[in-house]
Amino acid sequence: MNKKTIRIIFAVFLLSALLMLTACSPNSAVGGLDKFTDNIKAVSEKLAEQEAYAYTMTLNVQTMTNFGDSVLPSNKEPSERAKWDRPTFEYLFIKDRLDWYAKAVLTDTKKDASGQPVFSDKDFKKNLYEAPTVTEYWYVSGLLTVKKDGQTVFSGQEADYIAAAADDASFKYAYGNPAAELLTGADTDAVFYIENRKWFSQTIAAYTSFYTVDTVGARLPYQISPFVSGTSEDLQFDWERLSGVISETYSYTSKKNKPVLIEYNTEAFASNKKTATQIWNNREVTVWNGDVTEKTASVFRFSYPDKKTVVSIPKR
Amino acid sequence: MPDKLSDKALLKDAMNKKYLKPKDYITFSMAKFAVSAIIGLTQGYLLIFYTSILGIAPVTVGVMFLVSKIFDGLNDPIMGVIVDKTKSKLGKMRPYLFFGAVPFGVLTILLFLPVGGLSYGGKIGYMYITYIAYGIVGTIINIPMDGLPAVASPNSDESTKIISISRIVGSVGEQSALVLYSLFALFFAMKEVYMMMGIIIGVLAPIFMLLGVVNIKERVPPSKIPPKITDGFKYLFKNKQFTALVASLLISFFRNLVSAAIIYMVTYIYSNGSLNIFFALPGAVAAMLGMLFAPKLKKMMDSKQIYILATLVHSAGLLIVFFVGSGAAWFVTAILMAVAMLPVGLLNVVPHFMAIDTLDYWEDKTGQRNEGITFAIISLRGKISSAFKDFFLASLLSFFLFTTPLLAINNHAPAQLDFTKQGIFMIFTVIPGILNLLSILPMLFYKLSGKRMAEIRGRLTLKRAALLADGDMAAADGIEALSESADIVESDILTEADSRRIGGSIDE
Repeated sequence: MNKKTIRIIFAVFLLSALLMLTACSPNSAVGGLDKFTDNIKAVSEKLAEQEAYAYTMTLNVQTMTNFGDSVLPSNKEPSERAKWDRPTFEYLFIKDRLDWYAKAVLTDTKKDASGQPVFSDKDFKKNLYEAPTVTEYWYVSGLLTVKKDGQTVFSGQEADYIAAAADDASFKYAYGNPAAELLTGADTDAVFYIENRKWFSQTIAAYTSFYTVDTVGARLPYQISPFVSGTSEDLQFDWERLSGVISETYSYTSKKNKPVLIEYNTEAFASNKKTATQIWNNREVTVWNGDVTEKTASVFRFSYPDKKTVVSIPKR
Repeated sequence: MPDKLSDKALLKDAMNKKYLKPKDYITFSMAKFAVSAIIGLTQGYLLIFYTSILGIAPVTVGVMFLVSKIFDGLNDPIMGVIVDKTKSKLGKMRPYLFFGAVPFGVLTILLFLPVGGLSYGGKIGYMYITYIAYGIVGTIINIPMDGLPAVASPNSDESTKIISISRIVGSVGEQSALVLYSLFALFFAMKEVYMMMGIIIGVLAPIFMLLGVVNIKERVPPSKIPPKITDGFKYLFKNKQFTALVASLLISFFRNLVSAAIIYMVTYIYSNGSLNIFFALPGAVAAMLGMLFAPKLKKMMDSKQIYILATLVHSAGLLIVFFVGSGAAWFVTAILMAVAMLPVGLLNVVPHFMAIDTLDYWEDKTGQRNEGITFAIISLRGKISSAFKDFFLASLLSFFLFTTPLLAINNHAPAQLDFTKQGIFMIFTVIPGILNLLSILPMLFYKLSGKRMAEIRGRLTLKRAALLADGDMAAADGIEALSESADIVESDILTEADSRRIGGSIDE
């Protein structure tokens, strides 16, 4: 074997090793968190400086309503034949100096007497919906006016409305300026993944965090939870000792520190077990799993006044 | 020494002579179908079998695949040289197909046996042993299988035809596992489904492989100069036309991003995993249709022109899909993508013709013919390209902030960010559309086109016709007679090659 052949073989091994090493990059949570916190502070301050801006928010919610249904055959995953409640929610927010306006359109699903969603198909894929309800808020000169489907239902101090509207479906999804509230930092112990990117003139930052929920309902960031092991996509949860896990993914996109897009997604995973008999040795085995039981996805898209865009509060 | 090139009537007769009968096309294609069925089964279902049925951790399975792919890649050139050094009554390719068929089938069955009685460590050991053995036998089968069309007929039109037909049938064979899976899953539990798929394909495939091997003959005589193991890589760099071809094929991995991105598109952009078949199947069918055009196009233009044109048309198709946008209805994107995939059929088959051209070029130049090492390097190239594609895809997904599904959660499909969805769409369209054009650059150095190949083939056809003039090829089961007559002709060839070397610089 001559020197040239040896060099070729060595180059192949080096290339393979480099490829494998680059695939094994460590979690960048620690270094990225500081950068994320600094950037989001700058974005939050920039937004607060704006005299006028507007954004639309779309919120998709999916909740499994028959999780743990004993009617499911034992070899079926909870997500099969699941009944998902899928209301939709749209929110428009306009800020003009100290005044603001918001319009919330909630399209809720039809429910039966037991509170379960009603479907048009037997596979529970197509929900039936109620007529949309439109709620409008005007906060002008320190006073709040609320209209539902065009009818005034409140006019007065904001604090009084907040105290009374706690059970209102639309109010529970969004009220006031939810986007500004999202421009905060991240819980260090809960952050699983964090990255910052430059894409042409935009800056994008995202993180995912996990919290475990034990059987008595106590919530812990995953890094200090005793029921979590592994790393990356091999993260493992001790489903037998947990009742669930909550995941949050948060991202913002900014241009010259002005927010352009904010995304906030959550997932709730619930533990469940399956018992089966192994054919080859007749042994009964119980396997604990986690299944998705709730998902929310919120997207906020911003617009700012310029030559083409006018941002102003509509008349009451 | 007679000037054989001036004997135009003899040349014309020799080049037009048909050596292959319809049953040659049928039986070889069925052998290709069988091998592709095994490959389709293992590539499509082995991972999920190991993780879901045997319960082996995905990261353990991933490490095993990586180790075995590296080991497999090193085996290919070794097998190529072994094939080129082989001399037997059956030829240099057929013995391996003949004796490897049954072990290939047996290993396929063993791969999908639900060995539940073993400990966890025992299952891992079983996985390593069976998969590495499968890889070794697969190399023993695939290298000669790819090289056999090059020696089955001295008539290049027939070689072109048998390659095209067998590749189309092979593409269908790859999908046979999907058909079996869909059928069995209706009636049986998953463990039984995989086991039965392994048994049916493992039993039937060797039968079809043996039928193909028994029927087809090797009619192009092997080189009399046996290559050394190290000659394999030397050949890659000495034969500059082959170097250009391999370099172009190496870079062409970008276009494989399209098929790799389909599952991400349907899951995260259209939020409907069942749409996978509407993107994957039309693309595969379009590619097969493209293969059908290959023999006809080859009569109108040479392989290099077809390759460059197909690359440009494919890239243009992808860019059209990009500009139409991800907001279009899924079926619009699926239809446009199927059209964009039509040239891929040509890109799958034309390099095989070009590889045979480089073989003919080298035989004309030096008297040496290296089917084994040629197709071994092309196979190795395929594995390296696949590894590059996987790495590049993973890097792109990471750059676009892809949220990886957690293995700890059943059927986990996390919501992806807007930036990520844009990125997935770009991985599906504009990124491969632009980067695939780079594969044209090495092709500019590939000089075996049109008139030059016609001259080379003319010289080789006369040489081979002289060797075969006395025989009915269907009766010539071995090639010892050819080897003997090749001794007489070879001295002429070496003299010609020597003359060229003495006369001037070697034209690479």
